[in-house]
Amino acid sequence: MHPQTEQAFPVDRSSIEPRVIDIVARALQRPPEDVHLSSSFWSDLGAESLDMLDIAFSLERTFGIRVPHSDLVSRAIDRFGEESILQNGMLTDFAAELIRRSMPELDATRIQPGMRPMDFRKMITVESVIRVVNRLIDVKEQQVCPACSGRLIDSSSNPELQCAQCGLTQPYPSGDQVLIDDLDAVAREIGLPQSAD
Amino acid sequence: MSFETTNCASPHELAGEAGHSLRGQIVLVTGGSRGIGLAICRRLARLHPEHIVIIYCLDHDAARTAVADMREFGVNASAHCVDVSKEALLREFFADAQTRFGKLDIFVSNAARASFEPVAELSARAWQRTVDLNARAFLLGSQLAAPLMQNGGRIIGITSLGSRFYTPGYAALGAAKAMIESMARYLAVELAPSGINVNVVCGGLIDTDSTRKLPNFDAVCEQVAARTPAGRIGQPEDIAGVVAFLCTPDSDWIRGQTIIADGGYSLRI
Repeated sequence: MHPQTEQAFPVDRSSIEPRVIDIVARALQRPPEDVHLSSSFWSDLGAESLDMLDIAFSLERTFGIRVPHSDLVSRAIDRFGEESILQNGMLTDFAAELIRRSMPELDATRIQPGMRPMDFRKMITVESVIRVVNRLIDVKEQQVCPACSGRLIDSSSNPELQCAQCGLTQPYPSGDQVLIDDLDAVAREIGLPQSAD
Repeated sequence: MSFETTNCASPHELAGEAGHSLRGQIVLVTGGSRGIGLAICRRLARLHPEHIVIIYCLDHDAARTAVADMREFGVNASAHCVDVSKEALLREFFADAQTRFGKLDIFVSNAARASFEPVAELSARAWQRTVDLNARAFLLGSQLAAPLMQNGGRIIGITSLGSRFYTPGYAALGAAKAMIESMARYLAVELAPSGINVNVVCGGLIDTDSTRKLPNFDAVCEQVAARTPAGRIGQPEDIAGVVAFLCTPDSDWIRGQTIIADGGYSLRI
């Protein structure tokens, strides 16, 4: 353990679920037994915007990751253009398929074209967050030092990675970038528009 | 009887260009990675402090950029990820700061977060969190900073007109900002024997990444600019200039005050 993050590197994956539940429960001032994998933050747990900031900070500190700053729809708009994701303010066929494939923990039958983005956001569950945490830890544990290919560990002084051999530091992988890369992969599977860049 | 007007030196001229310096001083700015906080860091960097300590919460890229910015001014800087609403984390940070720097000279409590809703919809949790993030962070930060200011120092809070005037959806943050302004008066009296000066800068609408996310931002800007005698909305540098003045000896006779920096907006009814 080191001061900045609470987790040992690499992470015991079986500990992620209970630790996320604990973080969510504390942030929302609920008993942990009230927080289920299927609990949606807004509809079931009554989360508010400041709660999500608190949860994001705690997740970053606990697991040594950088959480995404925006949700999937917002990221998809940035990546593929608003016209690919929204039509008259509602999700397109492409957007609905993108969400279904990217978020398998959600009820696919409820994710349909014509859905409002806000209604999608209300569906985000505790399991969604656990999936993202696992994904970001996957990417983090694959990192090697760009200078000497050495093993990277959590820095003892800052929320960043440090090479155990040469000491070079680098930021934790960006959660936004990881999930954008994953969106690109899903978009290639669907066979629809790629990056707007 | 006639009065002659004289051209008073601007805060920018008083602080830095006329020889004021923060050499040897350790400066701490919460929320210093973006917006007003970053502008404050940049402005104070021109006064060549020993080190600028930036506290931020989640925007790691902005924090790294801010540190690089400071170094371009030739000023040492560091960024620290701290949730200022968490007492334990804030205490841990100040303990580390004491070990690392041995002292603190200037503490600018700028970090601010809130949720925005009508009073009737304000939950107890949102209220408490807003108070913790803003007013309690100012109080606790000041309590922890003061012992590090063994040779005197300056504490500056940042508030907004919502502390005294109605702004839709702003109840929780407005009340928290009002707490900061009130607390500054008490801190100014009780810390004066220790040579610590406490003041607040209260801004009008400031053009930042955060305010640009407000609904109808462009329309609001037009309305505010039309009502502002200075003819525009505020920029982060406008607040930073006043903060810089409050960091210099020329502000020594200003104690416990809230200086409104809004281009004159609040003068008109």
